[in-house]
Formats: sequence, C-alpha cells, structure tokens
Amino acid sequence: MTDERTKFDRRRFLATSGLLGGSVLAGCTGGDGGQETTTSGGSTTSEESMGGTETTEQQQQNVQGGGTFIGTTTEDATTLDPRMNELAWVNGFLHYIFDTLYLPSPDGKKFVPHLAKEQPKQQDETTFVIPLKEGVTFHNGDEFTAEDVAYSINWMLDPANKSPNKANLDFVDSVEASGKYEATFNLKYPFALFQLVLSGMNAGIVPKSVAEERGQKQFGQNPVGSGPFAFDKQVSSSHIDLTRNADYFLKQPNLEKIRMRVIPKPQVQFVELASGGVHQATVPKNLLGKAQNEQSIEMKRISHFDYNGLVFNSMRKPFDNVKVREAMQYLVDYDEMLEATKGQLGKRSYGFMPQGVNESWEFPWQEWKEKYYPAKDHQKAKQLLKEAGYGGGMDKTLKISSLASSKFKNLAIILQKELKKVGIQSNVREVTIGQWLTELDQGKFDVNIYGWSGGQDPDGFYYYMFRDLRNDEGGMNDNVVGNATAAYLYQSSDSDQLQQADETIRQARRTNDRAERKQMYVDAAETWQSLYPQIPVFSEQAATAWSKDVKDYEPSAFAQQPLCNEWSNAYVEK
Amino acid sequence: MSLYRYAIRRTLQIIPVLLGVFTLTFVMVHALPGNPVRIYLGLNPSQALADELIRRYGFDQPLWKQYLDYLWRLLQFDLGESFMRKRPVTDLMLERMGPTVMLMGLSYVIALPTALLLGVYSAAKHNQLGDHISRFAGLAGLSTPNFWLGLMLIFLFAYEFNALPASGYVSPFEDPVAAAKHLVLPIITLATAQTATLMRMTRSSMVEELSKDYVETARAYGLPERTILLRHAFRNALLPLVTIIGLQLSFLLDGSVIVESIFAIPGMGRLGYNGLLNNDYGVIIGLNIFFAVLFLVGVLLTDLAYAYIDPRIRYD
Repeated sequence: MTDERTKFDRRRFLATSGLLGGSVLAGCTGGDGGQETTTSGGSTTSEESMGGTETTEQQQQNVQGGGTFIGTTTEDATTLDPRMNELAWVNGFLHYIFDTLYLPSPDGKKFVPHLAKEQPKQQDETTFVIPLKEGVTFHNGDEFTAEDVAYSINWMLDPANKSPNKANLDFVDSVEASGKYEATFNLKYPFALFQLVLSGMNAGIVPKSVAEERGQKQFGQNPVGSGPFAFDKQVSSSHIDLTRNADYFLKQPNLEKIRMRVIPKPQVQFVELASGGVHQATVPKNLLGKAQNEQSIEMKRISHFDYNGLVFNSMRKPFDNVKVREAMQYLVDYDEMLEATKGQLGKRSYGFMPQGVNESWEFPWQEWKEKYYPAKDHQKAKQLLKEAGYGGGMDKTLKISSLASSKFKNLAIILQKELKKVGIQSNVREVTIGQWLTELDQGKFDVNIYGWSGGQDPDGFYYYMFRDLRNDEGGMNDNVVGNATAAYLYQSSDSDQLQQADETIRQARRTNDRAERKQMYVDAAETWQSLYPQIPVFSEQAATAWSKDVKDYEPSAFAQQPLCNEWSNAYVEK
Repeated sequence: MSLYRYAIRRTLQIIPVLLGVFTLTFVMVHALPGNPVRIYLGLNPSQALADELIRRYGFDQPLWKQYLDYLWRLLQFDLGESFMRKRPVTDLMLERMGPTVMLMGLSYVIALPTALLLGVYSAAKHNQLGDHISRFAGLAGLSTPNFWLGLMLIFLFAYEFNALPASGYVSPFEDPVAAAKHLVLPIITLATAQTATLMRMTRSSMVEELSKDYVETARAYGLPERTILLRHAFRNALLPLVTIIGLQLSFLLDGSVIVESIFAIPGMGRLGYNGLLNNDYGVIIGLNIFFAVLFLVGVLLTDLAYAYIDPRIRYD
C-alpha cells in the first residue's frame, strides 16, 4: 500500500499528486527543476520531449473531434473559484478554466506573457504597468479588460472577503485599471516574486461582471473564466467536466472535453489507466514495475518542489542542546531512510530545500553536504550525546510524532530504531492532521516529521519555514508557538544571529537582484544548518503515467495546462 | 396496546435518543484535537485570517453556547454548513444519498436471501461436507477485510480480466447497464461479510430449532423434510434472526465508508470519512444524526416485525 493520506495533498505543505495540471505546487520559477525521466514500454530516457513533432495544421487533420481526456485526482474540489481555493491540485486544474497574466515556460526558465501582452513595465521601484492582450473573451462572451484584473486581485486583497490567497498577494497595495487594456500594480515594497505570483492560479483572473452577479459561493460552484475549457458540471466527489472553449484566444483546443475523476486510491487509479478507464494517473511506488511493463502507457517521474524532514523541538530537553540535534545527523543513514521510504520516488535534500532548487540556484549544496550532512557514525553520535550530558542515556522516552502516512511513519520508525541502538527509548505516535497541527502550534512533541511544498524559489522554504513569526505584522497569539519550524529555536535560544537570519530572509524577498538574493539565502542557510533545527531528508517525485492514446501531451513540473497551452494541444487518438 | 399506538410511542422515543446522539457527537467532535480552521488553513497561515475565521464560525464561543446555537438550528431542521466545503450539510448529504442507498440496499437485498439459503442448507446438512464448506466460506467471508477484498476484486476483474470497471458510479436512471457493471464489485465487497454473518446466525439458529422435540415429532409423523425445514423450523428460527438483520444495517454503514473510498463512489460514507479527517463538525454531526435516524427506524421496524412473525407477541 502507498500513502493512505494522499488526501492531505490538498495544502501546500503536503502538495503532491494530480499532475494533470502540470505543476500543482505553490509556484514555479526559473531553473531546470528536477530531473524528469520518461518511461515507455519498459525503456527509459531522460530526454524531455516538449510539444510533440506534429505541426498544429497536421494535428488538426488528425484530431477528428479530439476526444475526451479523463484525468484522475485523489481528492474532491471544494470550490472552483481561484480566489478562494486552497487545494494544490485544484490550482493546477483551474488553469484549464482560468488564465493568468503570465505562464512559466515548460522548462520553467522564464515567464511568458499570457493574458498580459508583454513583460511588466517598471515605472518606479514599486509600480508596474502591465499591458494586456486585446480580443480575449470569457466563456460567457464578455471581453476581458483591465477592470477584470483589478477586480480579481483587489477582491482577494480586501480583508472582508477572507480570501486564503490574500497572504500570497500581500505585497500588492492595489491594482488599477489604468486603461482598458492596461493594469497598474502598486506594490507595498519591491517584491522579487512578483511575476512568479502572477503566473500562479492564486492570481487567476475572473470576470468581474459574472463574479459580482453570482456572488462568491455561486461562482465557486459554477465558474466562468477565459481558459481553453469551460466549466460544464461537477458531481461532487465523483468528477468535474469541462468542454472545449472554441474561442480560446491562443488556439482552438483539440480536445472536446476534459473529465477529472476523483479516485481516492492510487492503486485504483492505476488499474483504471491500465484498463483504459482513464487517460492519466499517478502510479504508486509498489506498482512502478507493473506500470513499466504496460505497453499502452507512458510514464514520467516529475520532481516535486517539496521538502520532508525531521523537526526537533528545541524548546524541550534534550533537543534544546544543539549537540543532541547534531548527534541525530550521525545517528541515521539518511540515504537508507530515503530508500526505505520513497525508494525511486524521492531525492535527498540538503539545505532545507529540494535538490531541484539547490541546482537551479546553484547553491553550494555539495559543500553543505560535506559540512552538515555527514555519514552515519554511531560513535560520533554517542560522543556528541556524551558532551551534551546524555552519555548515560536519557531519563525520558522521546515522543516522535508522525501523520498517519506511510512515508512519514517510516521516517519515524527508522529514527526510533537507531535511537534504540544508542540506548534512547522513543515512542512513535501516529497523529491526525488536527493533532499534528496542534502539536506543531503548541510545541508539544520531541521530534516531528514535517512536510512542506514551497515551489521552486528558496523563498517558498526559507520565508515560510524559518522566519520568526513574532516579527510578523500582528505578531503571534499568546498560546501559539507557531508552526513555522524555526519557531522553537526562536523561542528557546533567540540570538542576534537568529534575528539577523530572520531579517535576511525577509529582505531577500524584497530584493530583485538574483545574485544578491542568492547570497542572502546562502548566509541564512549557513546559520540554520549550523544549528540543526531539523534534518532534511528528501523531496518527492511523482510517477505520472498517461495513455499512449493521448497525443501531444507532456506533463512537466512547470507546464500549466499542458493539455492546451502555447506549446501543446493534446488530443485523444481514436 | 395496539400496534398503532405502540408504533407512535416508539417513534416518539426516538426524539430523546436523537438528542442524546447529537449531544454525544457534539461533545466528541469538539474533543477531537485540532481546530477545523487550523486544519483548513494548513501550516503557517496568516494569524489574522485564522482569527477572523474562528470568530466568524463561532469557534471562539464557549462550548455550551455553540451547543445551544447548534441545537436551535437543528430544531429548525438546519444541519448547518460544511466548514471545508462552505455548503449546507443537507445539500451535501442529499447529493450523496443516492449512491449510498443504492449500494447498501442492493448489498442487503443480495446478502439476505443468500445468507438465509446457505444458513438453512448448512443446518440441514449439519456436520456433513456441505455444512463444512458453508461454514468455512462463512468464516472466510467474516475474516476478509473489506479493503483487501475490494482491491483484490479490482485487480482480478478490472486489471487482469478487464471485465468490469474498477471504480466510479453511474446512476441506474441514467444508464442501467453501466450502473450494474459499476456496482458488481462494490456490492460483492460489501455483501460478503454481511452474508457470512447472517449465514452463520441462520445456521446456528436453525441447528438449534432442528434439535427440538417438535421437529422429531414432525419427522415421526412423516412430514416431508422440506416442510419441516421451511414451514416449521425456519419460521421459529427467524425471530432471533430478525433482531440481527435489523442491527446489521449499522455494519453496512461502516462498510460503505471503506467500499466507497476504494471504488470511488461519491456516497455519504466518503463524505463522513473526509469530514472526520478534517474536523468538519457540521458534516460529522449531520451524518451521525442521519445514520442514527436510519438505525433507529431499522430497530423500530424490527420490533414491529416480531408481531408479524410470531402472533403470540403482544405490545403490552
């Protein structure tokens, strides 16, 4: 069995699965991302084929109606309004109904104007003018204008609307329709991730007139966008149907329909794919061999920009001592831990970021690996424990908390076994999502297993996991420690060094110069790693498989709406 | 007391029981660790947004006030709103009622006669080969977990033989043939344990009846074995069975949660399961009340059925 708790993929912190929409992660930006491997009929290539070989004209001749593409996801959509959606896979899927101002290119190296006509024009440090395409229409026939852009973004910024996307857009002060086809963004401060945010569904554009007329709840159940497919119907917990938008401004989509089916079990998704019931599925680890032998499907491993690791509660003994935390690094062979947990569907992480981010930003991860991630050495671990005053063992049983997910639980069990070898007793406690969040919020654990999906920018990891929440506007509530994982360090051994690191990661997101930003993250990473607040273990990869009947379709970690975008136009061969 | 008055009295008794169910459910869901707002917002939410949602949904109110507010809404037949889905719980339940009722109903319709038939056959062939096989099959059916059986059936019939769809639900009103194909595997999965339980109960009840003196007397009079079995012994054995048959309904509800998840059936079981994982109070309470009503009605019908089966029973 694979993870039973894929349902928790819903939020950014555990986003996986459902790669129908390409990147389901919080955001993607430049860089080459993770290695992607395509497998077809048992053979494997590392080459990425983008867009197929046929020309659009040839495709149109072969299309014959285009067919219906049936994709799968493990979880239902609770709303189809991008302004209120929190679920990762839905964000990916909504790219078929709604458009964004920019899109990441399939290789993730640049942002391509989408509803925008060209790149943003910077007026001053915090003002950007974005010219918009003309002649774009929404599914109801209304013309897309700057009013819709201003409305969509300002609506989410309005605290009265309680949009969960407000935090992602908080750098925006306001958006004005400075012309019919020109939107002006006034930022509160310079923001390095401006275009990244505008290319994500958190900034999807909705038609003002329809959204106002229907009201948020109705709009969420019966959405209207400008994307390549229009909403047809949703049968809750069963499927969502979309139909071709023949007037799509980029091109006419080949596919007649898209159906997204909710199938909670990955094993069942795979069976449906292999037996022709669906066209795309995520293959669980234990079925990879079977999938490779299936002649009718293609498979590709797609790196997730997520992070999974062990978090130590430095507010409690014994992990208040940095030597104990460091000893944990020597205690376990983390490569073996990865093998036992995710096998081929994972990659070791260094520096609290996925390897894809390390590589695309050219962080000195090799250096970090040698300095902070040494090989397993129980003698060294014992020596560090002795220096910390725990040479004779511990008078308490450690509490290791893990979500009821096999990938997390395996991490916890392996750690437990190694702790036992050096005379430390521990209990592994499976917790529900509610217990897990409460424990993290209140610091009621010794070791916790943590998962977070932050996209391809280091900010997605450092800002969210390592800032001092007490320094946020409004600070923290009295009874909450804060589940950003650095909270425990701040509240147990706050120092000038830590406050400097906090300032650095806050400054980094306001700095546009990439080289400068990179140095900031390197500085902050050095601080954090030397304190061992946690041990990064792996980032995940999804084995996405699709039927060979689907042509001109190549999901990638970056491509939004890969069934129909600037680079591809899929169809189902009869 | 007439049957009519008895039925009214029993129906009225359902009200305090439901109040008890609601109170218990309310207390228990609020005792679950984790606030639904925190679960909804995930890690690292904006504190201001979390505070606002907690206030808006009344989670900051004292528990007794939340209880009374909820009870007041309930008295107006308002089950409240799903926090996760931002939709009325009643709407969500109504949308999912069809598949669950279909699945449970058909499973029962198949499980019940099969179990009775096998149980009677097994008892008639007491300690013979047929009895041993039936008992073994019954034990196997009872011991096989739903989730395992469901997955095995999918791999066998959908993957290996490609004979039946692996998942999904089609309404019989839309396409009866497709609906039947989609329901075969889930129904077998759900009905297996049900059949096994009822079969074993039927068998033991029948074996007991067949060992009684009146059966020997009937045989001495030369009545055909078939008549003894079906007209005399089975009718007497039915009384304890009726109680079990009514109570088994609750096990079907349990099973539907698992079966609906495995076969991707958009039913109430899955709604409840997801509600429980997310501390979606409205959904959990709404479904618990609904299932409690269903169960209580089942018990009431069982009690009323006694009189039909055994005319000696009086409702005094």
